[in-house]
Amino acid sequence: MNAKNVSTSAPPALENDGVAGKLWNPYLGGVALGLVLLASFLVLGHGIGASGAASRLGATALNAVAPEHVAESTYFSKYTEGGASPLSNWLVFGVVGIFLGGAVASMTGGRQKSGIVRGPRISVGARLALALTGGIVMGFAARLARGCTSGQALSGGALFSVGSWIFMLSVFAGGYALALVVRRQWQ
Amino acid sequence: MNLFPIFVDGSFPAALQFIPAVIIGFFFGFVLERSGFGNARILAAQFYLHNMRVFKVMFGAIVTAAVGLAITSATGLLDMSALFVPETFAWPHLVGGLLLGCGFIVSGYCPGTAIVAAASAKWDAVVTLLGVVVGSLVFGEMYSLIGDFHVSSAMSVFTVSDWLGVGMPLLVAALALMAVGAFFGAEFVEKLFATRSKKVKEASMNLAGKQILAGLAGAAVLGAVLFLALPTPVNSEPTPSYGVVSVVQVAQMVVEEPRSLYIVDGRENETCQNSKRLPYAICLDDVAADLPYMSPRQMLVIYGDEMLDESVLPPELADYGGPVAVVAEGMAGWNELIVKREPAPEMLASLAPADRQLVGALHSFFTGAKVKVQPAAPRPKVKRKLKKSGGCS
Repeated sequence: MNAKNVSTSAPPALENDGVAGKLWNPYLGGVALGLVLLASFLVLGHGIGASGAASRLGATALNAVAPEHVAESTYFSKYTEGGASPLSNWLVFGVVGIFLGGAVASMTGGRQKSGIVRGPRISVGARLALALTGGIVMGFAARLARGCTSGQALSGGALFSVGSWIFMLSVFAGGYALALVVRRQWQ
Repeated sequence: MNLFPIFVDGSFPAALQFIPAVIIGFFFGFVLERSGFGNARILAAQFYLHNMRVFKVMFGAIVTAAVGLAITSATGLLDMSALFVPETFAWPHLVGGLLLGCGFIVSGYCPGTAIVAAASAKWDAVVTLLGVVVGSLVFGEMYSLIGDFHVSSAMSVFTVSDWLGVGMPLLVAALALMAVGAFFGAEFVEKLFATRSKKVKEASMNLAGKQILAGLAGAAVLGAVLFLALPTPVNSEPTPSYGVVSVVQVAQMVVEEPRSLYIVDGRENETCQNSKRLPYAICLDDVAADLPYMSPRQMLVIYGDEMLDESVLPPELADYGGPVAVVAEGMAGWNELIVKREPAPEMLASLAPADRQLVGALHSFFTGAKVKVQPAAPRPKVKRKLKKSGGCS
């Protein structure tokens, strides 16, 4: 691994693209994730979402700056209906949990290390620009599809929603379609 | 006795969901991180095929959850119909998925995994999350341009089970079998591409991996056996029961959830074709042949000139799998209560008080008369399950 790479502490193991610590067996991880998802269905009556909270966070910021604009907005006004805060929603609390769980897992797994994850052939600036661009595209896409990989593909997929499966297959199709174009970022 | 889901709409204050949401989110984030989803290179590797963790974990999770849902609902612990199922909007889902996939490989994360990576102090993930927030705002601000597309190709709640007419146990069994095959395929592809890109293939088909695959194969066999052993596996289809709704309730549903309804004109075909009908209404003759194939999630509302007696309801209705309701006052009631400016007092008196208050607003909505309809005040969602006769509260 390149010495200039600040992303990880350059462990000698080449498996898993040099990610530190030991990861769970992916099949075991899948079953564990499925059980968490099942628990969500059984307890809350719905799956788990991630992108909805981001949209609500954005609406909160917008609401702080221009409340009249939010009230008139066709899309965002539903978040503030009846004077509610856009953040007063289970989606937001779920995301707080996801963050905490990720933090505890990375700390106890030896992967809590500040850095910028990138391949050996891309600069920090370019990597961050791509991260931002990809994020913007995903934020837009998740609103269009009414959910992302968590709320739509995983949660809706387990319930056999046709739209969720269309979405999931399209996500993979989109990823593979563009993978060669951005290969330099990763390989 | 349905023990689950614990939180059914309206049974608890919404804020009480927040605590279990945090706890479930915690485990979700924990498992994602432990599975390697806090690192963009592992996530991106999926698209270069030398490490297919993303596929294995996602597909494994979907199958596990689906098997769990099938078991809990088959044993009566879970009321599947109380679960929130995302509605299908075919084109928005397709385009949104393609875009999200592009954003995924460009940023290296999907929104959920970016949260986990941000929690592991990865700054590229923080930037990605910032982008997701910005992208959501862009969508909201552009809604006047894309709103029409966003609600296009709406198919309501539409599951593979509805589509293929196959019950959950068989569907889950088929999915489990597909997963076993796909996992072996993934191992093969990984090996091929890891060699090509000079990487070490992860040895994920160890004992735990094999046991899980065996478990999935077992679930598939069990599901298939159950399906074969029980001659009529899905016998829980409700016997057709006809509810009764008032024209006011129909009008209200047309305003608020037009997609949740099929409105069928049950009058003589000639009358139907040549006279004014309820909004969105289709003549019975035009729709009769399609009834068995229509999504049973919607409510079919049928009306005649006046109240249709149960005995004169067209026999074709029995072909429809979903709930059926008869409009109490029929077309005459619609004309009197909704179209007319001042409905006859005795007609008004026959309505439930809550319905009576809506008459004015609905009149102006459907006739375009002066008063503008207020956005619907918070009110209990119209339950699709209708009580036999008697209006909803």
